[in-house]
Amino acid sequence: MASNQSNCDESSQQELNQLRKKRRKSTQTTESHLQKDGTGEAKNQPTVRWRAYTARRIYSSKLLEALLRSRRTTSPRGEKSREVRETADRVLAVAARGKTRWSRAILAKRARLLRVKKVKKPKVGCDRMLQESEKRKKLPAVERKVKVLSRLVPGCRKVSFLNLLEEASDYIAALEMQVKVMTTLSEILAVAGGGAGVGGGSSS
Amino acid sequence: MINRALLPAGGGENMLHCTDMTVLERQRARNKWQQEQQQQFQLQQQEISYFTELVDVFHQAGFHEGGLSEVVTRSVKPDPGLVDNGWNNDRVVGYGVGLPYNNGLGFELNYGAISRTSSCPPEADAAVAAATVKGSESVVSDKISSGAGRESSKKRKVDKIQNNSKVVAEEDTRDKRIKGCAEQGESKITEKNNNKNSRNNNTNKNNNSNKENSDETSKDNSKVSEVQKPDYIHVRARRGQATDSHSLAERVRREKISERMKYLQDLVPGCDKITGKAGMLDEIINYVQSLQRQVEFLSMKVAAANPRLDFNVDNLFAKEAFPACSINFPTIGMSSDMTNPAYLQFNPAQQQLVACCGLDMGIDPPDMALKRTTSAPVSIPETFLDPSCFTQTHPPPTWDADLQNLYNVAFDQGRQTSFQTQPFTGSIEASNLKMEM
Repeated sequence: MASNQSNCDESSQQELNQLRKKRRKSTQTTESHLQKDGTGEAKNQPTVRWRAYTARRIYSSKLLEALLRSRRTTSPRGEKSREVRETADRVLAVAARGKTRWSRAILAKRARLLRVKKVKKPKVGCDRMLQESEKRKKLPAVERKVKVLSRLVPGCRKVSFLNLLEEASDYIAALEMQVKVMTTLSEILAVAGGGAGVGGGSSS
Repeated sequence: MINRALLPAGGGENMLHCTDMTVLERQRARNKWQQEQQQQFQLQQQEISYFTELVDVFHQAGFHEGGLSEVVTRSVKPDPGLVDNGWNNDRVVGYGVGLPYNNGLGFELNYGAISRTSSCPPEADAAVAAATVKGSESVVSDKISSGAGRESSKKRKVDKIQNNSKVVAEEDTRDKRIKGCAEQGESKITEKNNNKNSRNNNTNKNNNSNKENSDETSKDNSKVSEVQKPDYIHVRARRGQATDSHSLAERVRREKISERMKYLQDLVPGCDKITGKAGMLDEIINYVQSLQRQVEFLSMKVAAANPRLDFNVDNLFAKEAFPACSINFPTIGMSSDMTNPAYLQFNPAQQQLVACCGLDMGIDPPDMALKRTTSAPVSIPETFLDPSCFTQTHPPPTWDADLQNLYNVAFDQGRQTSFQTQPFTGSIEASNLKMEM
C-alpha cells in the first residue's frame, strides 16, 4: 500500500505540476507584460491574484462553508438563488481582502442592509429628466458606455475613468474565478444529488 | 587613463560646482539610491569593463572632458526626480569619455542605460535602458529648444528647473555639436531600443520616437520616483509636441488609460482586433454582463441542488456515517481544484461514478452549454471530460461504501488538509490512500 501510494503520489504530482505549469503559462505572459510597471506590482495584478491556484481553493472552501451556514440558518422560500448569489458575491469580496473598491462596496451593501432597511426614494423630477433627455443630444458614446460599466461594477459609480478600468479588470478576473468555482460546485452538487437519490434508495 | 575615467568622486564634484542645487538633490537621491546598491553590484562590474574601452576612445579623440562630462551630467540628470542623480556622479565621467564618438556614444549611452537600470527598480530595466539612450539625446535637444523645455519642466521641482536653465545657458554651443554626434550614434541603437520600448509605448510612430521613448521611460521612471517622492509627477515634453503643463498631464493620463485598456484587452477574450475605447468598452461591458449572468444561473443551480446538501450535512454531523455521498463531492471536488470531473477518476467506484455523472450530464444539457461557454472565455482546466466519455453502466450500488472512506477522512480532517494531500487530478486511489493517512 505504501508503494502504491508513492507511485500514485508521483503520478498525481506530475499531473498536478503539469496543470500548474499550464496555468502558470497563462499568467506568466501577463505577468511579464506587467512587470515593467513597478516593483511588486506584478504580484498585485488582477490576473495573478485571481488565477492562482490558491485563490480558487480559498474561495471554494469559503464558499462552501458560507453556503452550508446559510442553509442552516436561513432558508427563504422564494429566493434561494438570489441568496446563493449574494453569498457567493460576498465570499468573493472577502477573498479580495478589501483591496478593491468593488469588494468593499459589496460588503458594505450587506452591512448597510442589516443596519438600516433600504428606503427607496422616488426620483424627484423624473418627468423633467425624461423630457430633457429627449431634447438633449446624446452624450458621447464613450461616456455613455463608461456610465454603463460603472453601473455594472459594484461601488464604482462616481469613480474616475482610470480607476474604473482598474476596478473593472480586477472585477472581471474575480468573476471568472467565481464562475469556474461555481460551475464545478454546481456539477458536484447535481451529481451528488443524483447519487444521493439513488444511494438513498438503494441503501434503505 | 582608467583612473581618470573612473574617478567618481572627483569628477562628480567638479561638475557639481556649477550647480549647487543639484548637490542637495543628489545627496538626497544618493541616500535613497544606496539602498538599492546591492542589486547593482554585478552591473557595475560590467560597466567598468565598458568604461575602460571608452576611456581609450576618449583619449584618442581628445575632447574636452570637463565640458562633455558636464553635458553628460545634465543629460543624465533629467530623468526627473530620480535617485539616479546621486548615482550619476559615479558614472558621469565615463559618459563624458564616450561622448564624442558615434559608436562610442552609442556604447556610452547604452552603458548609461545599463547603469541606470541598475539603480532603477528592476521592472523598469528594459524601459530605462532604452530610455536613457534616448534620454541623453532628449536632454540635448531639449536644451536647444530651451524655452519650451523650460516650460515643460514646470512640473518639476523648482531646483531642477533652475539647474536646467543654468546648464542650458552654458552648454548651448557644445550641445549642438554633441547632438549631431548623438544623433548619429543614436540611429544605430534606435531600432533596438524601439523594439524594447514598443511594448511600453503605445505610440511609436513619430520619427522622433527617441523622444517618445525617453518620455515614456521617463514617465516610468517618474512612476518610480512617484513612489519615493509622491509630491510631483515628473514628465518630460516630447519633441515637437506641446509642452504646457495641461497637455503633459493629459498625455500622462491618456497613456495610463491606454495601458489599462491594453491590460483589459488581454483579460477579455476576443478583443485582439478591436481598437478604440468605444469598441473595447462595449466588449468589456458585454463580458461583465455575461459573467454576471453566468453567476446568477449557476447560483440558481446551486440553490436547486442545495436542499440535498443541507440534508446531507445534517446527516453527517449527526451520524458521521451518512448514507448519501453527496458531501463527498463538494470536498473532493474542491480539493480537485475545480477540475470538473476529478471525481470521475475514482478507481473502484469509477464506473458507478461515471455512470452517475453520465446520467447527470445527459440530463443537463445546459450544463454542457455552460461549460462550453465558460471554457471559451476562461482557461478551464484541461482535464475536462466530455460527456461522450461517460458510459451508463449499472447504477452504483456500492457507491456509498467506496466513497464513505473518502468522505469521512476528508471531512473529518478538515478541508484544508484534504486539499493539500489530495492530488489535483489523478486516480481516486491515490486520493483514497492519501486521505486515509
